[in-house]
Amino acid sequence: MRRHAGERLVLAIAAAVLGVLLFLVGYTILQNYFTASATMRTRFQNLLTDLYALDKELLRSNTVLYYNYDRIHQLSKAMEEETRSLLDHSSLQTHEYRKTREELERFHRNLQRFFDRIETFLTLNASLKNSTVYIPTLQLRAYRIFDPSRRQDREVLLLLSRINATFFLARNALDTDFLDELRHYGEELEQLLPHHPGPKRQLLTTLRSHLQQFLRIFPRYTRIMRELTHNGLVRNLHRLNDRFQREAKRELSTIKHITILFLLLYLSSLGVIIYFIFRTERENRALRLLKRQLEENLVTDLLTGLRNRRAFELEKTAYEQPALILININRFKHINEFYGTSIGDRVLREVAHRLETLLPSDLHYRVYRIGGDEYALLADLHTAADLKSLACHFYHRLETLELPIDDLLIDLSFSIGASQEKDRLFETADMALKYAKSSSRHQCRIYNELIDTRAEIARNVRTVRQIHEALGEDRLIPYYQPILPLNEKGVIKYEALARIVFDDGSVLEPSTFIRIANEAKLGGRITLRILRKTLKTARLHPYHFSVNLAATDIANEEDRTRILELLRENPESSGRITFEFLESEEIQDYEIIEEFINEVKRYGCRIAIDDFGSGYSNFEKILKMDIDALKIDGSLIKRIDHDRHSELIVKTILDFTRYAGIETVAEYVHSRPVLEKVRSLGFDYVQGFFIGTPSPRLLTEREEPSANRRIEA
Amino acid sequence: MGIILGGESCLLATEPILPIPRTIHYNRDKARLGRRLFFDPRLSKDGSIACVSCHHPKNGADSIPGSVGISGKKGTINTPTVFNSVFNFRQMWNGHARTLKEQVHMPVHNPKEMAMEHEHVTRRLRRIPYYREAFRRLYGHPPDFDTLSDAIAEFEKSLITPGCTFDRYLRHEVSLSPEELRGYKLFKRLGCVTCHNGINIGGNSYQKMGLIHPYPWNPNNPDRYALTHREEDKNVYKVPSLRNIALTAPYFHDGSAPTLRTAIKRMAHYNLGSELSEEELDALVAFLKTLTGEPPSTMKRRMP
Repeated sequence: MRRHAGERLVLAIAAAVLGVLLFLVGYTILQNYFTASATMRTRFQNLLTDLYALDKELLRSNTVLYYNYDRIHQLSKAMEEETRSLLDHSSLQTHEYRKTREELERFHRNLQRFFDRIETFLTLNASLKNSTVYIPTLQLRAYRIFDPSRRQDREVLLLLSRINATFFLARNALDTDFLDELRHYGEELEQLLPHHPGPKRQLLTTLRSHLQQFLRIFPRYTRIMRELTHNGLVRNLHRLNDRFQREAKRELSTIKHITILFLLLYLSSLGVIIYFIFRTERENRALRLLKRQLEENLVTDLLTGLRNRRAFELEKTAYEQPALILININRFKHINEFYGTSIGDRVLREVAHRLETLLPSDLHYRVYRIGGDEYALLADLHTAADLKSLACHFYHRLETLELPIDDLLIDLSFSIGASQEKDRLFETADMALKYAKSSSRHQCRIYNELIDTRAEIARNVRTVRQIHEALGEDRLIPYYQPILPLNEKGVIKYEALARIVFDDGSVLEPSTFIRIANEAKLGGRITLRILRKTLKTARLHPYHFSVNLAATDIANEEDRTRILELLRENPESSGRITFEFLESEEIQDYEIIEEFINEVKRYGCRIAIDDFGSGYSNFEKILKMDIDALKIDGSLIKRIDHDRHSELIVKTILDFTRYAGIETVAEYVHSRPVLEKVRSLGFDYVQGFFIGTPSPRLLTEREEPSANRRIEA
Repeated sequence: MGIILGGESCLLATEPILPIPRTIHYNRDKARLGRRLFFDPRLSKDGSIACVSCHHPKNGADSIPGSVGISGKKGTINTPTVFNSVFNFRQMWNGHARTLKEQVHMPVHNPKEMAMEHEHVTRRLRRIPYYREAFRRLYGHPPDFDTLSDAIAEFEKSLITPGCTFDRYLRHEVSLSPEELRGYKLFKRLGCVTCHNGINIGGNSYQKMGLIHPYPWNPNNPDRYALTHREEDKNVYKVPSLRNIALTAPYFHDGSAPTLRTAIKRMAHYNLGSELSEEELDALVAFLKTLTGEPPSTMKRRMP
């Protein structure tokens, strides 16, 4: 069950809201409970208070003669209303308070009965008081009517006194025991009646009526009074309160359970939130793991399972004293081609495995595959001796490795380069490896400064840049060195020599840049530039010019075409151009050169061979190539005045040229003896510092005779 | 209880009679509606009589022994006054109605009086726009019998008659004449006050008519016996209020006493067994006349 983070958030919020709601509901229920039960108790208490007040009023109405019944009705009404309102109270409608309600209903019924009795009581009370007021009034009146001096009348007055006294005793004591006595007086009164006619009889009959009335009412009155004062309502109320307390207590325990349930629900909603947090965390962990695996894949070589070049770059910085051993399988390309790539891959895997198991286990190291057939071993080492021994250990274990793959035994050899140069670890190890590869014997090399090819590389880079800049800023220009004839038939010639000039006046000679230019495939462009500038000079001066041409310059068809175009564009000067081929260069494709020679000859160009005699001078090829001139190599000329060996070779060459009708030029003529010698040998032209140094400009007309004079003198 | 005793001094509480409060709380709007109903003959079956037909504005009762109902039907019961009836502990001669509201049912349903059924009255009132609107406004629903009686009861609450001479005497505002004072003392001494006490000088207990000398009993009497059928309840009635008694002749439940003097004389005979002298009668009449208060303002004219 996977859920979106948003969905989970909604669920968590819902759980939180539910939790808070449950908490609030629980709280409200409890609060309602306490409020309701407190209110209820207060109201029961009020009822009890009213009941006591009513009791008091009833007693008062019994004792006080002039009494206001309104009070009793007011209290009754209040109690009645309160009881009805309690009966309608919502708290008591529930099943939990069934017993309380029953008790309250019982109380209400008793109260009704109580009120009914009060009504009767009031009726009797008033009647009783009526007589209580009236009997003394009658006696008072009797004193006016009856004459105490008469015996008969005196008897009546005496009887009335007794009746009055007993009446008050009975009335005030609420004691029915006196009634017999009163009844007896009543009988006496009855007997006296016939003897007193007129108003006297009337008074006595009234008294008799009151007495009879009293005797009839009083037992009922005392009974009802007793009933009212022992009404049981107080007990009723106490029982009601008890019932309520008991049921409230039960409800409280129910509420407690509900609250606990709510609390549990609240806690479980908290749990849901925690669960979601936990889940999210777990998923984050899974994601982190996945991320690590992806990173792992990124730094693992899939073929061998080793760590790759990227891993190497990342991890090398973690070493305090890193030592790197690069191990290259010699001629692996050959294995791939010979056995096929599937075997090749197995070789790579097997080598990886061997490398990982070859090492002493106490060494902290890692093996990487950092190129197609190249492995690296990175370790923490402390001394150079360690590295040497480790590298040697490797080399000796790998030297005679024969890998059994299927039924084949593949013989492998390795080159090893190692370094401890922390800052340029890979670069220096690679240098050592290259060095090891280049030497036939030392196939295991530890880097040292001597094999640092870095400086040369930097020089090469600088030079290539200089050439580019010189071409771009038009600072690659020809210097012209005069080539003078030794006989009258000859003409003055100049050899155009490439120079890079700088703004500060310094000049770079081709010996420092031409090799690099050729390797950087810039030779063609240099030659073209020199040719163009020389053709321009030739347009202004009547001399012949020779331009050096390397075989590689015309190997490129585009460059070849550009040269031919230049010649076509300058028809008036191209007839005075001689191309000098370097004899020493290894010419691979003579056909192209022959074809090129044929092409330029159509524009009137001449062909010379430069530095003839320095390499494998091949006379046959020269004859084939239709050469116009040979320039004998300076190494044969510079000592010709005293070196017989040189003289012999030169004589032989000259014999050949005379036979083939080819002009000859002696270069490196640096002194008069050399000049005299070459002249005596029969060279056609001379060139060299003794004749004239290379210069950006040509000889002036003034300098020309002096140069010629030097030759002649 | 605060409604009635509230604001009166404690000294007054020692007398068995209390003055009527000068004002009383009631809902004016409902009372206004109640007044309309009180005066409306459409509450009776043939539209001939209204409440006010028997409860006249001058005394809250009428001046004939047995009141007249619909179609001129003659009743046997003397109309008790509606004035100050709010202070009675029960309503009707025998206390049949516990409250004013309950009381409304009795005359309306009585075939000799207004002779109307619940539904009949309700239906009739609902056809009248004024009542439809007024009940809806005051009670939130169309007229029914419960709200009708509530409105009438609310109006009846307003029918109090404060400011009689005796009340002002109780408040020490005026003094009684010697004759009146003698009457009051006689009232107490003879024991009248044992029944006629409280704010209404009566109306707060049931008593037997003919305690000493039996009063003739009639099966049509509106006595307690009619309700309880207990022998001892024969001729037992709610003690009538003596307020405005000088205005409400004839007297007794059967209207058999045409004058106040006759009524006092007869009460003395039946309930005290005594024959009062002319002087005593004069004094008592003089006292009873001090109980006449101001007629209720809500009855006299259109309510504000």
